[in-house]
Amino acid sequence: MRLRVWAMRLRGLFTKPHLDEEIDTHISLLAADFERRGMEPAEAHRQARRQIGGVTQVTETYRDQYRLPLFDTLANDFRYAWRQLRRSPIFASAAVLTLGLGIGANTAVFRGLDALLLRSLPVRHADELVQLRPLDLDKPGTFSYPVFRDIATSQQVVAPMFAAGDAWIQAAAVQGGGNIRLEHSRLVSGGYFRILGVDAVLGRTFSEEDDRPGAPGVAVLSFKIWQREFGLARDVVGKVLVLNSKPVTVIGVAPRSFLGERILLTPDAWIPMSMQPQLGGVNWLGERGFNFVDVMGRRRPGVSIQRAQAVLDPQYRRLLERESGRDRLLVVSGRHGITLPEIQSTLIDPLRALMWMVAAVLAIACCNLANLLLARGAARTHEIGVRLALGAGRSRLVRQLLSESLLLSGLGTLLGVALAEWATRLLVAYATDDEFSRGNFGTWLDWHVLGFVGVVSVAATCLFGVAPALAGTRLDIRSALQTNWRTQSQGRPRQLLGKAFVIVQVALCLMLLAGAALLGRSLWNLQRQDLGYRPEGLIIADLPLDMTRDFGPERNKFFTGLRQPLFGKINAIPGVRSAALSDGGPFGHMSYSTELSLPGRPSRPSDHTREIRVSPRYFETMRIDLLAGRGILESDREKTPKVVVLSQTAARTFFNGADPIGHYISFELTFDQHKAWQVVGVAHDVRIESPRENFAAAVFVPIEQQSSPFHSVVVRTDRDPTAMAGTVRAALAELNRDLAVGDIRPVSEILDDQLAGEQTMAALAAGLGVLALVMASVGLYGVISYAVAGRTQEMGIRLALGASGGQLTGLVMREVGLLLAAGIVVGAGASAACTQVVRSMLFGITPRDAGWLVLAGLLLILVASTAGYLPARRAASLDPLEALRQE
Amino acid sequence: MDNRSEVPYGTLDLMVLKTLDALGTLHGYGIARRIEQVAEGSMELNQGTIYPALLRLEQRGWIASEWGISENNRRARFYSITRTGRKQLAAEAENWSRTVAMVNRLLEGES
Repeated sequence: MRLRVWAMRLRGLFTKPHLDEEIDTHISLLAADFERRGMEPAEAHRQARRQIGGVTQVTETYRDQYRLPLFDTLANDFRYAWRQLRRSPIFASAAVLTLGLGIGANTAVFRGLDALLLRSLPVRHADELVQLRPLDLDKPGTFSYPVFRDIATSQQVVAPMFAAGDAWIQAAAVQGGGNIRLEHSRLVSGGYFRILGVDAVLGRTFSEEDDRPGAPGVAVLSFKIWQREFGLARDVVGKVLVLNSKPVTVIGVAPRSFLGERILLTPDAWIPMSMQPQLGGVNWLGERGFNFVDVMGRRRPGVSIQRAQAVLDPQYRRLLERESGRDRLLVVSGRHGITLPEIQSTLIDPLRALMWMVAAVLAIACCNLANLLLARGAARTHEIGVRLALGAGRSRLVRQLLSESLLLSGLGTLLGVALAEWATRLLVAYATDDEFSRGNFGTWLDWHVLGFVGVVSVAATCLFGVAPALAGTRLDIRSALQTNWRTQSQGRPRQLLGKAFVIVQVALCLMLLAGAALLGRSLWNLQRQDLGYRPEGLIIADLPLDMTRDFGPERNKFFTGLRQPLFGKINAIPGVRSAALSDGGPFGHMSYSTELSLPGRPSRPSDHTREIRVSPRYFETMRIDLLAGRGILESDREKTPKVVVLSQTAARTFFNGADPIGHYISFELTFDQHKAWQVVGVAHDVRIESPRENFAAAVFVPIEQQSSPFHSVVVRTDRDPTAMAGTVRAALAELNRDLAVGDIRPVSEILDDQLAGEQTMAALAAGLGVLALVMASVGLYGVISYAVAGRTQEMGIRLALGASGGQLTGLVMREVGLLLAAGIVVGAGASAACTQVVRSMLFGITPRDAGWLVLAGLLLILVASTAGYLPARRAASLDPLEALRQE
Repeated sequence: MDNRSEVPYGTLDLMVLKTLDALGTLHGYGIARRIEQVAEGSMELNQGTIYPALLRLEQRGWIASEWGISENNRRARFYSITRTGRKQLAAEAENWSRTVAMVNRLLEGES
């Protein structure tokens, strides 16, 4: 058929044919004609009717032509399906609700993943972008600026390239107009905006010209800052900002859509790299050993990522000073921007796992629906048999049954999209605190998401709709027409299909429960992790350092002078049992590593020794056990012999089990007798940065002997930690107004924060597991009820022949048991195959934790058996006479 | 003896187009009557079948229609031929002549 005709007929769906009127006119004209020839009016009318032929037939032909026949029947089918669903509102709303929940959860999680992984940076030719990722012993890191310069200028596979590193802006103000908040600024090399192809929405971006030593200081603001701090005022260009007391002129504003090159970390301002020495106080740009920049670039035409890697990796290794074999360079696609490892592990991996879980929940929901539809189909056997007998085509009937499923999934999808909208907001709120990023992050419905929703709902419909529709119409007409469906022969295959669905449900449910159990166990492991110290009753006061001024000889003197009075003061606070200073508290932002050598044993590249500078009473305050020797004491002063305390792991690594007390070490690559430190004690290992880390080698040094700015105070108290925090803050302020005091928080609270992600994930997994359990139980209940109902007569006969109720229950329960066993076997196998999905999120799971999986399985068996027992009981309570009388 | 024949299959469209081409705008009854007049009783037209034909032609864009008032003051749809309809008429008329000529030759050859 031609397109035009299609279009006309499509239009016909929405217009009404006016044939009746035309025919009426026709008949009246014809009758008038006959009258003119002398006929009686009544006779003329009759004659005219005859002449025009079968009006009904004509009207029908006309109507068929007026519309698309397919659509016409489709519309009919939907009207019919709608009536069917309206007749069973409980079934319909349950179906729509479960589908809506399933599709909504899938959509929400997909939107998160889509925003994080599938969206290209909003820049020109994002597919050409690559990220250069240096690996140190397979741990991703950053480049130093000189190394970046060398790579950028010495090859032709990835060019041009840019570097970007964090700028530490402590204070920002508008010249002549108050402070502004700049939390996160990026130092970028001059080519940044040109290479990405990002133009300013206001003013201009900067170029290589602005990025040379001595150039006047400039900055490009993010849209967010323009909005938040300047209210979108156009005169922001030309304003002078004072950043770390250096003047910088605003030259432009980046577009709203441009959120920087890193995922979920939108800079507030971009500043040319050449400003680093002025803003940072110390010049990092010439330091080959100071790694702080990420590097991205564009591939040259025709250069694959593999080829770029093959060229760049050996070159990078040659450029490094140390030739240790632990460094590698990886070239990865930069099309989606740089993903920080933290984001990968705290957001992307959990979302991936969540995607699998919600998909499983949706599959369970579909199985449930399929079973409900099967049962409905069974109840309609007679009706369908009649229609088949009257000559309806099977495909026509399948279409009609499917339209019911389509209607359900359509409604479910609408509900799902609405739920997803709400759930996405929650997810985004969890992912970022930043109001602006929230606004920009995956909160739009676009073709990505709509496509996904479409695919999911069609797949779901196929999953739950097709099999029951096919099964429902494969009938032996003669038997279907018998009035009693219980005696029909189609029951068996249909029940088989229903059982298959239950097995799938049980298997998926077991997988979800197993996942939840493992995640819960991981959380439990993390919460009970031996930190090496006691977090209860420990408060930590963070003293943030100012990078621009705290690293000079003068400031060192300031801290040295403050040390004794501070130590004395906090230890005198009532309620403080003990307090100490260190240069990096538990869960602090910084940690230092050091080389460590012994006579005859130089430092090795594989060593990784953490250096912690501590005041006296540190071990006592933290409650770190001393395993041998002594801790750092008041008597360890600047001029007394230099001493260290080793952690257990350090002692084992460097002394191979020999007693280290009294031996000497030095912090050089090879042992230097003139810079030797004596080991005076061995302390228990500690996990300083995160409860997830392994016990590692650490060396405790008296802060008096290795002077440095301290930036945390640890306080042990018996009193309410929150009230104590105020007292500590007051004491610190009283001591010196110039000392910046950051957060003062109980360590246990910081620990909870660190585990918030695990907590959420475990809770979500448990919630989904319970949902799955409920749905699978309902499914099992339905199938068993149906089976029992189908066997009423058989049960009656058995009862009449002397079987006891208990025996009948047993008969049904055997079926329940078989179904459960099959589901659990399948589920256990599939779980084993799928552990990869959650592996990165598990912590401290050992084969001994298999007990938890067994527990999950037992829970499933218990709940599901109960669901199966209810209908089985019914079989036992049958009245044999009643049962036999049923036809 | 009734020697009236049925409308040959596929020719109704051609007849409708030709009628509208010759007489301009007409309603369904007018078209049917005109065809019967020309047939002079030699053909039995089931008048109702003209309406599906009109719909078909209109859907193809060969004729256009609008509502009007008939001579006995009732609402009726008036049809007229379009430009593409004229082209189609010319093509189908030629096609028809060729078919008729071919069938004639065949019949003459037989006898």
